[in-house]
Amino acid sequence: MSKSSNSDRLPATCTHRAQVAGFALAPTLALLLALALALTTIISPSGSNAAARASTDTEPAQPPTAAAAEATRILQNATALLDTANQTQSRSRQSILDANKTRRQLKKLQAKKRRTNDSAARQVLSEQTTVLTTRLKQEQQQGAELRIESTRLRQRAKKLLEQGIYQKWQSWINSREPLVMDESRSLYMAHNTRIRSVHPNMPTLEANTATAPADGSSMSLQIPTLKAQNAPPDLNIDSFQLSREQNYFAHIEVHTTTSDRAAETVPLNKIHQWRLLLTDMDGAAVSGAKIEITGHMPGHVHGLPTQPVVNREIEPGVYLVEGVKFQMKGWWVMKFHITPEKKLTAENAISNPGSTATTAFPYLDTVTFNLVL
Amino acid sequence: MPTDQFKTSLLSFALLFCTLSVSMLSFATGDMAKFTEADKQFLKQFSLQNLSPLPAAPDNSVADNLQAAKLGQKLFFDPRLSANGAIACSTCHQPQLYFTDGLALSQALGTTRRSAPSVLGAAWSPWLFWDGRKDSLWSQALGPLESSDEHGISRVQLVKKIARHYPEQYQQVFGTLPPQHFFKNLPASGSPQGDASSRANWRALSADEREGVNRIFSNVGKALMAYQRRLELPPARFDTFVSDLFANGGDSEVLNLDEIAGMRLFMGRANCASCHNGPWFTNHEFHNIGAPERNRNQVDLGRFEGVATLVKDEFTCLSQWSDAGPEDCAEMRFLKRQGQELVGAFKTPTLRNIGATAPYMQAGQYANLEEVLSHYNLPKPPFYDPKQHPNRPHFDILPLRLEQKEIEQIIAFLNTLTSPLPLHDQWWQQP
Repeated sequence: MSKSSNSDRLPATCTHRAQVAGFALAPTLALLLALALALTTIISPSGSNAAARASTDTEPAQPPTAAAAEATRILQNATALLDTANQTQSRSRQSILDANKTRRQLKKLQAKKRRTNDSAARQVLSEQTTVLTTRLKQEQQQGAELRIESTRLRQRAKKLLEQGIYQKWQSWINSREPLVMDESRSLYMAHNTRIRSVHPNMPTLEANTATAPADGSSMSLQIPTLKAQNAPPDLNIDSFQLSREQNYFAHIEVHTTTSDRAAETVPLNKIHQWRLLLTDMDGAAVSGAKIEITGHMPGHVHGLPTQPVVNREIEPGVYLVEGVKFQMKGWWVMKFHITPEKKLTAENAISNPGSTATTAFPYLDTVTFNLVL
Repeated sequence: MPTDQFKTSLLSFALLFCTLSVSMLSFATGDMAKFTEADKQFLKQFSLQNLSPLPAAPDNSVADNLQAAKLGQKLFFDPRLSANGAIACSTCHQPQLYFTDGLALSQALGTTRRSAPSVLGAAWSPWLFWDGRKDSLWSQALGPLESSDEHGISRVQLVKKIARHYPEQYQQVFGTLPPQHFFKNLPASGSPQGDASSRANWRALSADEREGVNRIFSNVGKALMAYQRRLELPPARFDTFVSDLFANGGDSEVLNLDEIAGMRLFMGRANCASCHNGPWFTNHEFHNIGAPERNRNQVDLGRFEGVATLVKDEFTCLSQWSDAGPEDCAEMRFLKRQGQELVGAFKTPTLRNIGATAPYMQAGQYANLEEVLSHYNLPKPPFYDPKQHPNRPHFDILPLRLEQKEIEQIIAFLNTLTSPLPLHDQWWQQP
């Protein structure tokens, strides 16, 4: 946009503000509506949920239509809410872009003012500056508010998705809790690998800002060497996550054959199995996908001690993850790179099988799980 | 006078400040030996009394067989199992040196590339050798036998010696040996590894002959493994100290204040316990701490090489010589084959008896614990040569910047990990 057209828009600030208010009002109403819908679906199902469970016992393959319909309704609400969240997010981005633009204009205007000797012209420029400053603040504030709003909406949508997926996939979901480390084993091994020498220079002492454990004990393996090794307090560690491109919804839990261990309890330093439940946004199974796994510990610059693989689908959409192992407690990130079936048949499915790169084929979408074990 | 008063108050304030700083920086003498319940529980995890049972060994069906262990013990100390009749396993793994040889690089038929690690605790490790190029103790034992710098005999020579010297003991554990003519028909030497004639002889054997030889060869490893699983360590002063903490309500005279201070540093601020943990003081993993290269023209790629060798190994848990099904070989099936952190990484060694098993590091680069601690205190990053390394090696440690006194305290603590030599123990003796 040229400079002149920007100046032309200046007098219209009041209208602009009104428009902003109008824009802000519309999604709020939509949001309220969606929330109301969501709440009714969450509150009402307790009775029918039990009924659904009772009847699944007799007929596991064919869930009753009432429960299925209900799950579908929840998922529809969830995706609607997610759409609203995405729209809110793009409006937030737009506001921030607008604010950046306004800031540049403001700078130019201030520079112009410094160069002008004519007092009348200075007066005009001053007024314009005031108007622009107000607008900048508004745009910045609006951007920030919309961002918070979109985050909140997305979290809400994710909770709804979780609810809907749970309704639909109860027989495969034994735990909705975040994964935790099994504390029963007394012997534990760990390491605090610290930093990768990306540069031959020594890391500075400032980097070595260890934080003592909260209980004040001086002997512990829980003394992180670097601040970045601590998981942020507001980290989302849910076992249900939306994929990055919002193509899939996924759930992880420990694959237990016996009921002696909870499905959210990860054993320390022992190779074990997980189940990955993969659905599309309607809760339908995503079958035949090629899934590659990478994982690491933030701040430790090391990957997983083993290479977990997905070789088998227990039933459509329910994948067996084998070879999972964590050799220490702490913050882990597990990523599932998903290539859908049809993509695999394309000629670029496995571009370079001998590649030593972390991901040997192009993947379409990624689901990321943060774990604090 | 007001000035004097001011001076006095300033002085007392300064004194108070000093006292506070000292008590905050280090423990007062009385507190040093006081341990909370959490401290005790933490320390317990390092005690030999808390050692887990031997890990199951589904790949070796005679791992816990007493007769196999007795045969293994004989083989371990038998110098006839070498090219010159003078080298046994015990040449480099001497009981009186806690199953090490006290040398930087071991001397057998030749000079080895790396230092001989102790075999104590090896049964607990999923990976063997400094670079983890073997996945079991039985498979590990086969390496030095055929290595030209160590025992230097091919597997064909070995199985003939077994048939000649140990026919009864072998058959008692592993069942019938092949008939005499099987051994008579074998060439003088033969192995898929080794010199050209040995390899040619191996190729000339029939599939049945090769299988027969490999069967006995792998069983020799399994007997040696069964023996090494019997080796136990008596408690060191550290272990007694930890028991005392529980038995006497937290009072123990077993360690002095310097040793306790060293222990607190080891377990806390100096971060040694990050990798050296559990009763064997090792996490059995691979790290690059930047120990100097012994030969910069031929760098040691450590675990990176180890993994490459392992995937080609004939005697893994997944091989036909293993007694385990593939479902029991999870470590091999989900082996991490790539990753920058493998380059130049070596297995964390046990710190049990560390004060008595100098020199240190994979090639004995450091002669004593002072040199080791001085490296950890202000380490140089790993040597990097883009022509030799596939990528810049990881560097897994940060400078500790401890004071001289603190280093001495850590060394004092390390010396409390030396167990008395149990030379009266039948398994520690030559049979």
